[in-house]
Amino acid sequence: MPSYDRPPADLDRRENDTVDQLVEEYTQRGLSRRQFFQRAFALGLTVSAASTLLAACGGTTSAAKVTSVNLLTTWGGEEQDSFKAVVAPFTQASGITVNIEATRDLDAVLTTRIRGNNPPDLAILPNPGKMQQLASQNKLIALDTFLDMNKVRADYATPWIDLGTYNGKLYAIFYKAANKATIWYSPTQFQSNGYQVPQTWDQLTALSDQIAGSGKYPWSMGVSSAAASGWPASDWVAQIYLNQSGPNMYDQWVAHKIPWTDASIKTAFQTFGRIAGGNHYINGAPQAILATGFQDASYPPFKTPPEAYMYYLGDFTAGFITTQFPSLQPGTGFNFFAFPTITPTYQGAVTGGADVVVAMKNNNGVRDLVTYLETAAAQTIWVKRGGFTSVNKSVDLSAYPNVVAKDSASQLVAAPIFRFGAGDIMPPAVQQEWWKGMLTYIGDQSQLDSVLQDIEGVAQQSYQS
Amino acid sequence: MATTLYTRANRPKSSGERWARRGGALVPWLWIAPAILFVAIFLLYPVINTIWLSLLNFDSSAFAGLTNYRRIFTDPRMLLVLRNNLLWLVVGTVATVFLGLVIAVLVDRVRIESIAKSAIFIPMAISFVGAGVIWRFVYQYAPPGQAQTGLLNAFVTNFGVQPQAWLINPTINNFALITVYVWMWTGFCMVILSAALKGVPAEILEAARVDGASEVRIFFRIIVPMIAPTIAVVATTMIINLLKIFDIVYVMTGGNFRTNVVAVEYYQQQFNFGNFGLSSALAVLLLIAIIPIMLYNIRRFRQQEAQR
Repeated sequence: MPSYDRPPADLDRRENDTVDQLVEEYTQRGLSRRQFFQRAFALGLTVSAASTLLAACGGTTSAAKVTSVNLLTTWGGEEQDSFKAVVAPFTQASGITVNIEATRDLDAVLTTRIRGNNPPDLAILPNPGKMQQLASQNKLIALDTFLDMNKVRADYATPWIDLGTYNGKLYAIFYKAANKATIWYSPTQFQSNGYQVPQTWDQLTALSDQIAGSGKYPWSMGVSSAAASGWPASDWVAQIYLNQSGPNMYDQWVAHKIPWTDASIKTAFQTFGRIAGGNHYINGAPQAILATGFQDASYPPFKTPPEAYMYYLGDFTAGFITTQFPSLQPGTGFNFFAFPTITPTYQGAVTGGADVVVAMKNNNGVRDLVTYLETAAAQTIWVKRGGFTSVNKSVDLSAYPNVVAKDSASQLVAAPIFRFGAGDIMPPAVQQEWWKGMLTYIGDQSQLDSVLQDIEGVAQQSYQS
Repeated sequence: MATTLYTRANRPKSSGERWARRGGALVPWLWIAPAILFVAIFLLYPVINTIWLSLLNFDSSAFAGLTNYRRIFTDPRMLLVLRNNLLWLVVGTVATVFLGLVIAVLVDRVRIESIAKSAIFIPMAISFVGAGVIWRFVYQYAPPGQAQTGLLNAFVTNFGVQPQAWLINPTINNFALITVYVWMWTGFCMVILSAALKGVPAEILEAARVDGASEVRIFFRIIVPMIAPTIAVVATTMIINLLKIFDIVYVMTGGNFRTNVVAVEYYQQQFNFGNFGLSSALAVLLLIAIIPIMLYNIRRFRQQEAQR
């Protein structure tokens, strides 16, 4: 069976430019099929090569038309419901159904399917690191071949486009961004107990000690997440590192210019360890931290009576809280404060994350869906539902459903220092080892050196390739 | 008409025999070819390829010799994986076979035998993943003072015992996982052993009783030796199962908290860490560990065939 997924590979290299031009004219200026074929034959293409090419660039050949696309994502539960709401108008307008396959074990599923030559049409990757890896292996479709790049440049700030670019080609659009410098708390509880929102790390530990001293638990923490267990703790360390050692060191760490056994990394782990292992900081620690899901762990500060007072996780936590406690008022019932300053020079530093849309097949369904997802209209649907921060400049800030979401979005946009969550831009193997290392470290903090050595071992192997 | 005396040597050949002679040794090969082809494609080729990969480095770009194997036997993390597999092997086999045998003997003497056996056999019908999910609920942990939603913790806290993180505490979590396996497979051992028990002739047992042997003595000196071949079959089946154990560990702890076993480590090295050399070496190690047991099983099977 011929493959319609890619342009034929047997085209001579020096013909590529003329063929590219032909394709461009066909897709953008509406060349008729007949003209297309005439021009293609003039270039010396065979009939089959020409029709394959036509199919590949979205011709009207029936074999190339799809009525459904498969999309692989990590979104489940409430996040998936929201995404379905985003996709619904697309399906209605185009008649193309989107089959969503969700897995928390996206890495393994995607690796298997790609190696088995059966990739999904599209995937929403939870990190650009994986996207860079796949792009370098030639597994992704360049999106700038069909997206209107002028519109993309108008919608996204350059750093976001750069992060989605590999070797000068755009392979990913940033869809759902997350601000990971947010500590969640209940303003009502803080007020009635007379707690002050901490601005610095010392104030944060002082407040924690004060709450612990009164026989209550200041923190809630949970890092369980099936095959991805440990990631919430790695977010902690990344945010601490950026605030502690600054963006230059952060970049070196991410690029593995400094080893994991470096003192700065050890210090960041230990700073986190003071919260995770703090005296009377977390009920049932360390076991409860390891046994509790990151979603469940966001609830205790908002229960009546509260079982904890603070919880650190990205801004998507708002979605968990509002789903579990629908009557809570944003801004009073729940809110976040910015991650406290550790080193004054790096005040206001924000780590973040983003899910990126990538395509592995080139067909009309994929092109239409990616084009749709890029638009402000598609992103606004989820913005309004909550738990979603868009980096699309055309999305109106007033679309955010409440003051909390709006504050979070503007904190992200206005951050003086912004860096991508460290694990998300490291090679996936290093990130996975780091997650596992966090679990070991939380369980037994005396293991820190061997944990860091293990991650360093994987890093040495992963970065050299 | 003269009578011809046909001997074995000069009798006329049937057409088939003539064809076979012309085809030489080709015909049997023709019959066996599809089977060989299947085995070669789906068994032989992957095995050889895996052995080859295990001698290469992590992305199969350079020859690494026995480095991967050396790592398995020196890296503390890999040693832990091997230790866990050994623990599974010993505790899992002993527990399933022993419990299966004891239950088989006990239910043999009660009137509700079939009901009791069905109840113990039912977990076999549940998939490993399903069992893992069920038992994760059983083992669920909440800090002291909170509502214990896990069955086991709800039970033990009734007696004033602190709730335990069964799956996280490294001193107990391996046993908590093995318990799930035992729960699933005891029924299997029981059914097979129970069938063997029924095959022990009643006359021998009666004779022993007449001679004044106690029931315990009868069990150890008569029943066990007589069903020994069946016990061996059940035990080897368990050993092969346990060497390959994957699902329970993967679903319940993901190999974290010092519970990793060879099959899960292999999977993670392959799919998460992209270390094809090490993962292939682990797979080869499993293969080598299973071969003697397979050979033992085959020899035993041949002996039984010969006795018939």
